[in-house]
Amino acid sequence: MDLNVKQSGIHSCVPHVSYFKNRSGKVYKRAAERYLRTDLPCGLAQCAACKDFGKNPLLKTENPVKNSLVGRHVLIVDSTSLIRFYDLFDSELLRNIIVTQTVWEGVKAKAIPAYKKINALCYEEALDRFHVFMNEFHFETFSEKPKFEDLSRGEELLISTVHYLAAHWEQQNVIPVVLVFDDDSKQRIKKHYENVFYLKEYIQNIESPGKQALLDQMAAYENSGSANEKQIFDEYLSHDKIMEGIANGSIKRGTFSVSRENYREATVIIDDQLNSWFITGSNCNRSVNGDVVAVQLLPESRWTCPEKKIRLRDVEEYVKTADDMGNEEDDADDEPKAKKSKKNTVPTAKVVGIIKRNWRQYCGMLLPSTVKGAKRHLFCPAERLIPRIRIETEQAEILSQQRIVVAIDHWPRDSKYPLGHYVRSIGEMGSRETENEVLLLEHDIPHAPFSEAVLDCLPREEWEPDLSENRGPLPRVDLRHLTICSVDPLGCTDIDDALHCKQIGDDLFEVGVHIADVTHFVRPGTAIDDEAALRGTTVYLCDRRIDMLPCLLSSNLCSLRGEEERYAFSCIWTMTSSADIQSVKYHKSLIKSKAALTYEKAQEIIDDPKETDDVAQGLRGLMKLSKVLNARRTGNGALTLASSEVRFDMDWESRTPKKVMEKQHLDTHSMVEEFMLLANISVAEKILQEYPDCALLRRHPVPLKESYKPLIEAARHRGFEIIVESGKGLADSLNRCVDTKNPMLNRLLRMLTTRCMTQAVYFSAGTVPVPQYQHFGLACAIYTHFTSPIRRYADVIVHRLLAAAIGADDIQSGLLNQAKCTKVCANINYRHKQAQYAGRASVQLNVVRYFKGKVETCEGFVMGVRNNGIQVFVPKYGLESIIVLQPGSDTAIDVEEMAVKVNGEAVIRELEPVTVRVSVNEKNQQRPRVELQLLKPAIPGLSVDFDLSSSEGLGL
Amino acid sequence: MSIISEHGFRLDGRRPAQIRNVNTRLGLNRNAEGSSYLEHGNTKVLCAVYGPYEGKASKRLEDRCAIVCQYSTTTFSGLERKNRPRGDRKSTEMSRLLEKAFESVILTESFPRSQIDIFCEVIQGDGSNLAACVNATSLALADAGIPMKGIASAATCGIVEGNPIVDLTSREETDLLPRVTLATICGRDEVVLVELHNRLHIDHLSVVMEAAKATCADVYECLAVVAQQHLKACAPILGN
Repeated sequence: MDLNVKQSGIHSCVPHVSYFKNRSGKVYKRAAERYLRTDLPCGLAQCAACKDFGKNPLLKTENPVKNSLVGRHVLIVDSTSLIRFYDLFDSELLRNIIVTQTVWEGVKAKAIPAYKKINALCYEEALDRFHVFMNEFHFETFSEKPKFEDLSRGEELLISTVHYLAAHWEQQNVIPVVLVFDDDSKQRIKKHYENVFYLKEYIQNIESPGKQALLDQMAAYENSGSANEKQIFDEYLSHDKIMEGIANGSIKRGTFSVSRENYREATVIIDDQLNSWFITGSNCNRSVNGDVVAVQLLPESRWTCPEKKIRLRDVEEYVKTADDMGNEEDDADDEPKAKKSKKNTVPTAKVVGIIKRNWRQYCGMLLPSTVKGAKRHLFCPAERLIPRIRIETEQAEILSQQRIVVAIDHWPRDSKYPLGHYVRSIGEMGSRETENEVLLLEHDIPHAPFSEAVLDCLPREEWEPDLSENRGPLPRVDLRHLTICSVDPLGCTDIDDALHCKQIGDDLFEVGVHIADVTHFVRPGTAIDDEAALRGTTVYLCDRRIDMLPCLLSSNLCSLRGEEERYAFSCIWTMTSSADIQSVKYHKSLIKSKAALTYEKAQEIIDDPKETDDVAQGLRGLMKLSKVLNARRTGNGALTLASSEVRFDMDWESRTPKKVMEKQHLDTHSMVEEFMLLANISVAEKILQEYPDCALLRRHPVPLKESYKPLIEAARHRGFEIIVESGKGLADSLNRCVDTKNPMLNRLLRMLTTRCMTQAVYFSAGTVPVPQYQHFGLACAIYTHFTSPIRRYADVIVHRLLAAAIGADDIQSGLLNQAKCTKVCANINYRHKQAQYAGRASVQLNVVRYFKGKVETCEGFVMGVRNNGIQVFVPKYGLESIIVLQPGSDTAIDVEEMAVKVNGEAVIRELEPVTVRVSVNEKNQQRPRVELQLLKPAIPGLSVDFDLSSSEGLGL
Repeated sequence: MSIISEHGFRLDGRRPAQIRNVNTRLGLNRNAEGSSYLEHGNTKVLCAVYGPYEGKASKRLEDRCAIVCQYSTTTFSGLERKNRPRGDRKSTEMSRLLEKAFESVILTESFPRSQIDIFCEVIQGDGSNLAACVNATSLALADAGIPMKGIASAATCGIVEGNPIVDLTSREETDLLPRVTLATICGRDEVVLVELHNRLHIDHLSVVMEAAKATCADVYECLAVVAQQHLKACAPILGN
């Protein structure tokens, strides 16, 4: 009888049986229904029969791009072409494209990047060049039973779709054309439908000059697959074999990560164990950094150890002549000959298959080719860990002076390099904009201007605070009468914290931390919130800041500027002069900062006994309390770590670096820091107590004992002992490492300590065991980020949680969902890391620009000793670089003792000072780089003479 | 796998607000006073109604009749084979829900000191089982000629990213999807049963309830057609 009042559009219902396996391998049968519809549009704008259906953009019948193969036509692309050539479809030359539902699902299941692309083209941008035809729900094109035995299921559905469309469009005189990629499927489809072409064949026949660019992009596939070539790599195991191996434990799944020091070595971090396996040479088997791979442990007899040798592609190329690079094929079997010293071997594995590729689009440049007018070129990605990529292009002359984007297509067994294609050009090499763009793209930092939708969420510029508006039962408190002030670096426009301190009794102080109330403006679920969640953090480059929130909020309405009324989220303690907290309360407030001070100014006020106004007294009270807090924290074993970072003083007119900023540490720095830490900890306690399974917290894992090895070794050679049993022991033993002859030693050791540790991460409470909540570096049991909501998204979430906990705001959808919180954490952890890397990369970029045409002699320190060179760190510029030993001199390097020896006598050891000359090597016009040359001590093969004419001292 | 695809369709080709096809047969079981067989797509329910009869003394109520319901599922109704067709927590809960709902649908005051038994058996479960049982029972009661305030109709609705979807299948009834089962009388604003599964944000409640109410009205139209056709077939005299 089939009753259905909402029958509209439904033609019939067919039963649909599918089988699936659960995790333990049990097979289930599932009977489902499939409703076949009559209301699906065919995609043509002129089609009278389908006029009323659908919201999809409709194709125009008239294709302005003519093709000599067929007349009026619509393209139907198969999934293989879409997956491999999805970049191509950006081109305006390919129009009137129908993506069938079958193809869509196929792409979605097989290739995420391709899927993202077509989703963007079809739905996000909703271009009228594309249309999705729902063939599997269409009553004329779906058939449960196979009709043609020689075709695969996908091809069969394609054929029946094409047959239907051909008949449907007969009157309009439009021909559906199928575009395929591989030979076999073309042959098979040809039997049932005549208008089948290869994608390439179609593009060649486009009557437009722009087709050359498209053909360039396709070129990568053409020359591969010549079967008689020497096979370099082993074949991958089949998917089934890998799954079987993983199930029985002989194969493990892990993430492939290439060593930063030696591009031929890598480690695989095994997913289900906490250890990692070593992989070297061709055992890497075409894996690219970040891929999820299947690895198999080699028999113990074939285990090797890391070479302890620095191998960087550009250094090797520098040694070789440029001609060698042209025919790079010959050194394919130049395997690293790892020493077979049996004692130090580590578990060594080989890659037997790829589970998930981590390929993306890479920025970089073409390597100069020696052969004029060659078509095949090597592309050098900006990211060191990515191998060179072979591409083909006709436009090498133009591209050689530009930064370009390239995508990897595949990596055949017979090729030393992956094959890829040119995607687009970023701009002129060396220009500030291009280099910054490369930096942002490479670090995956969203930096487009804010969209209209985001800007629409902003309040008006003349916004006024209004105490009567309330979002929860707890009202906003008027704190305008308090003497609140903010202390920030010079030139800071996004002031997100302010402080006050007031004596309220005998030995009783009221101390408040007031944080910009960002969540008042950034409401969940709005476009501005989505954008901020995506960006995760504000990114600071030397010459540019990429805001998380639009400027109106970040530097005006949320910024707690002096003498202006602003909304804030306050955390107010009552404490004694020995900083014992009596009580703490949280509420939203309205404040009026009395002064926006810089660190220097605040220090001046505190030190000047003539200043006796409220601000000065408040500051002095804060300073006193902060010293108590700091002493207590250090007593608990909080670490003081050092980093190698420097900042440039920029000339903002020309945006060039003027000089390195001298970082001066003032007491006011630690004063502000101390209270921010206190606020963060108090808030963490509050939200954890209220929401034990979804509070957003920050933890810093306790490092494994083994990871301290480099630190302990280095300290031992200098005669110090490092205790790593506890945080307190570590902090104390680091304090003891003071060498009067080498005052930098302590800082260097602290830098090494930092490198031994993993990063602190955000996480949702309830996802790890409670003891692991602790923040190791700060030595506190729980921690979160509350104090910088203008520039960190984590703080925004924490603000919402705290507001919900105290009833100052309603609880919004998804806020208390652990899964959502974990997802947010994953993103902000990633963004945070990328922002840090981008910041460092920006400093390096500016170091090169700073040294252009300059030579300076600086003090450096040996940070690492390797078999073929030493790593030198120049603290003044935060530079770390490598000086390579030239072969054939009497100098020997003893890695065990971490020393460079001349005639058996140690000349330099790790952590010892050296004198180096810093300059920019502009031999390679395209890629100037900072070069260190060793001046003192003079070591044959390693240092340079002062005679500049024979400047063959090698460096990077 | 997303419940509503980027194309705006659900896994089985329906749009979010479309119900599945409804198929019914009435009066299959001659032993019972009233009986019905109802399909909501692949969800198939058999229902039989006995009574009103004198019933057990223990259940007897002085002023109205007692409603006793038993909900059961066949062992082969779901994906995995079940060992226990009835009496488990879930089935007992369903039974109680049905009893409560029909106590307010049937004019119980008309039969004091008597009892009506309702047996619902889910032959194949493909989502919205409770709603299907309510609908089947309504028809069986109508078949039995028991006086009611009206035909009760029910529907299960869920919400995905703020968009309501109606008449859920078992693939859509995931562990996280908040879903509401609502039953109303004659598609009007008289609610006889509400049940909520999983956590639902307060902002979404009104959206889901509106969608569920509209769906109940849609289902009611189907049930009304069935009841009328059945009446015509059973009583040819009334046919004109």
